[in-house]
Amino acid sequence: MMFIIRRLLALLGVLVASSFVVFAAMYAAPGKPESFLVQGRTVTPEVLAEIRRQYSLDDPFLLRYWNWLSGVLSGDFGRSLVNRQPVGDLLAEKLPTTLLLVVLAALIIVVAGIGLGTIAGIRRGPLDSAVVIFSNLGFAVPTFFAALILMSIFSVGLGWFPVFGSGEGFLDQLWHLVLPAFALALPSMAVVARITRTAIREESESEHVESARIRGVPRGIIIKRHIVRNSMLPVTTIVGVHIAGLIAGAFVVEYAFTLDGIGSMLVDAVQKKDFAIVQAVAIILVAAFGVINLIVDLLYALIDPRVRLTGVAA
Amino acid sequence: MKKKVTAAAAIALFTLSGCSGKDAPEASGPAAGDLLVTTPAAAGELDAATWNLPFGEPASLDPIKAFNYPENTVVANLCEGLMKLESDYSISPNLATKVDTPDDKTYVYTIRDGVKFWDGQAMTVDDVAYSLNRHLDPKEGSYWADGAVSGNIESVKASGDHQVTVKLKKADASFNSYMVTPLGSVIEEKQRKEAGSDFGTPSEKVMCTGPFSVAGWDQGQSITLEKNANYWNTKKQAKTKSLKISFIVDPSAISNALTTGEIDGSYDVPLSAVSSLSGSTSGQLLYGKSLQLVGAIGTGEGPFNDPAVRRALYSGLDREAIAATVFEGTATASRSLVPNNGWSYGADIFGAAREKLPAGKPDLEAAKAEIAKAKIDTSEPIRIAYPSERTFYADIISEMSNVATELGLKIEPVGLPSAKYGAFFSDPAAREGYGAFMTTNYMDVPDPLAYLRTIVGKDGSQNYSGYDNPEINKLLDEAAVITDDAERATKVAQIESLAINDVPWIPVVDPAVRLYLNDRVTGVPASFVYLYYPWAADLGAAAK
Repeated sequence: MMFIIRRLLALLGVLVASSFVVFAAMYAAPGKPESFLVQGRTVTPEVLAEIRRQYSLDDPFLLRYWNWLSGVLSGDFGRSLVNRQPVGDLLAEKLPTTLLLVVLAALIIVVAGIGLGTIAGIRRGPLDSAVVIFSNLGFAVPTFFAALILMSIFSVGLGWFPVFGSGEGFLDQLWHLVLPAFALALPSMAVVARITRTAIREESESEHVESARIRGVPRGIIIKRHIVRNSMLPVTTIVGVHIAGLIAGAFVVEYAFTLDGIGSMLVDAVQKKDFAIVQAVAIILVAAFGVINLIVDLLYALIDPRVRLTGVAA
Repeated sequence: MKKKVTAAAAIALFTLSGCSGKDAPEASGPAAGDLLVTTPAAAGELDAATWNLPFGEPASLDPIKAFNYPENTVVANLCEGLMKLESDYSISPNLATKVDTPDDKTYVYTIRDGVKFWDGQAMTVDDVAYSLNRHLDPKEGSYWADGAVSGNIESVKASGDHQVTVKLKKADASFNSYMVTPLGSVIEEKQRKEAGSDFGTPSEKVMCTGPFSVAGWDQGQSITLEKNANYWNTKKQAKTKSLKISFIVDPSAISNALTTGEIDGSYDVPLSAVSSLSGSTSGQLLYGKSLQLVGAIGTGEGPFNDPAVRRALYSGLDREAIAATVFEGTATASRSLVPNNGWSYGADIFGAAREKLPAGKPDLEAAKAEIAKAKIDTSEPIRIAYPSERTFYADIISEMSNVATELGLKIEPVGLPSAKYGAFFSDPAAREGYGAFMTTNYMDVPDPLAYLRTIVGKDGSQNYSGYDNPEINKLLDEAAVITDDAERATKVAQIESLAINDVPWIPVVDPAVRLYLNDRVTGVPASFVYLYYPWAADLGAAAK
């Protein structure tokens, strides 16, 4: 329990530190926010001054940071500079799309990645070679390219899936997200399959499996209890890292498929220098990364009770 | 290089001809010289249609915050001005039935009777005066508030039951043409005040009189417009009941959505989608008369600030080749700072004056003669900025750089993130260290006087280099008070030729409007009026 509390406190520290860095970085970037608000239009100095006042751009940096941070703590993420909507509302609208996309992609990685890797690890032959070739290919293809190919085959060519948008209602949304999730999951799925296969191979050749085999333990039990279970330790780490990475990588897919998730919102906000949105999304990304890492560490203990939840684990 | 250009030009022509051979109007490449003004009228009504905004989601629907493609393209269907810009660039009365000018500083608008807002409330002269006055109130933060037009307004007052009078500080013959833009848009005063600071946002929206009202705004996804069944102009009722407008910006996603028919049409389809869309079997890529100009804006720094250097680069640049290759034949070579056909009056005069300006063929000898006259130190490299995701700018700069090398100059292209590039238009600090930056500019209104004033006028809003030519300044002032169109056109044409001689900007090409329509829909204008004209009201079913 202490471990979890300590980890949560550390996560909080990281969040505060990174929020400060993000807040400061947006100021260091060139261009004034009011210039973006008027979209390059030359307006009178009075209008610019009024815009600065409306968005409290004249307050000192630390004061603005403090105002923002205390707002966030009370659940208020401020208002978008560009369209004046409360950032919290925008997040509430866009987060579900990204979450569903990431969950779908994570499922694909876990089920297809570990599944294919396990099969390839246990059985040698043409299937094994096919998985190896697929994983090389999958890892080499960049996400945006995978998105383009999937779209041109399954949406434009065959017409099975929609070309853009996030859909309305759960089933429609799911249908809209199948291709994006595959594009997003592809590289990670390939890596996970490859690592699972190697881990399974190593375990099958280990001493304890060998001795179990000699003692005449049934093959099914050996595979389940000795090989797969033991090989899941390195696999869990890699799956965790990759799922955490999905959130950050989602923007490429969201952009290509025009999904209204937080990834595409972030890209848009960075371009328009919409401070409030960039800060909020960045914080969410950092938080998600931290939480997923925490979950992975907890899973360790579940898979292998020998791993003690001591504070030493980083 | 020459060979490569010719080969690519041949390919461009080939792809353009690929989309002809259909029964609807032939999409002729701009090379043919006749760009479309409209598309065939709708044969019937539509229950629903979809459209796309390739430049992204509007930030606001408040007309005074509409100063860019996404906002204007939507707001043009919602809110109307006192005057209206037609697809042939003529200007006609709209919410005003007529305008009188008792003296050259007074504009008296007779306000139309029987105009209602979407909510059924009658539009009053107070709504009109209030709407115009918003540009004068710094608290409203109008993007249209500037020195030359709104800054020249002395007062706006309701001067009768059906009359609003605008008094100017000094005479300006181009003033009335701005009444087609959001400067002359009318909103409901009551709703504006109730909405408070959220006016124009997805939660509060706006209240106007146009052929469409806002049915919904699904942020990040779409805005849905709904036909205003009570529209005052019964002859111009919308032909589509519900129009869903998406915000896809990725070129390949746009191309896919259009070819699969998930989106019915779009203005300004990205250049990189031109080749795939012109081969589409389910729709047509059409080319329309435009008011746009692609060029390099001088900042007033480095060797580029010497007119001799700019003249040399301009006359050495093969603008025709750029139009044929970089723009795949969808643009024509510029020969003026004013885009071709960018006028609503004096067509004969402007047309003839344009013919006298040098064409787009390069003249290296003339360029070398010019560079010899340069007084500035030309060893310093000329840094030209462009937004890095718009790769066609890099292609243009690279052509320019070839010319520069021939002339012993050095051009350094600098791709910048959009945010940083965007600041060039408003922040002098951002322009420091750059000799020029690339732009796709457009005329607010089809009036060369209003446009040239912003570029070459001493205090022009787009005069980024501090260009100051006393002769031009004098002519601008003189032209502003001439009420006779032909006489004014003659004077403005004189300014035009003086301005191109100094090339404060290097104009490169006049791109055509790139309009895609699938076979299901038709009717919208093809010319560059969709920022101020309710184009969606004309959208309807194509003849079977």
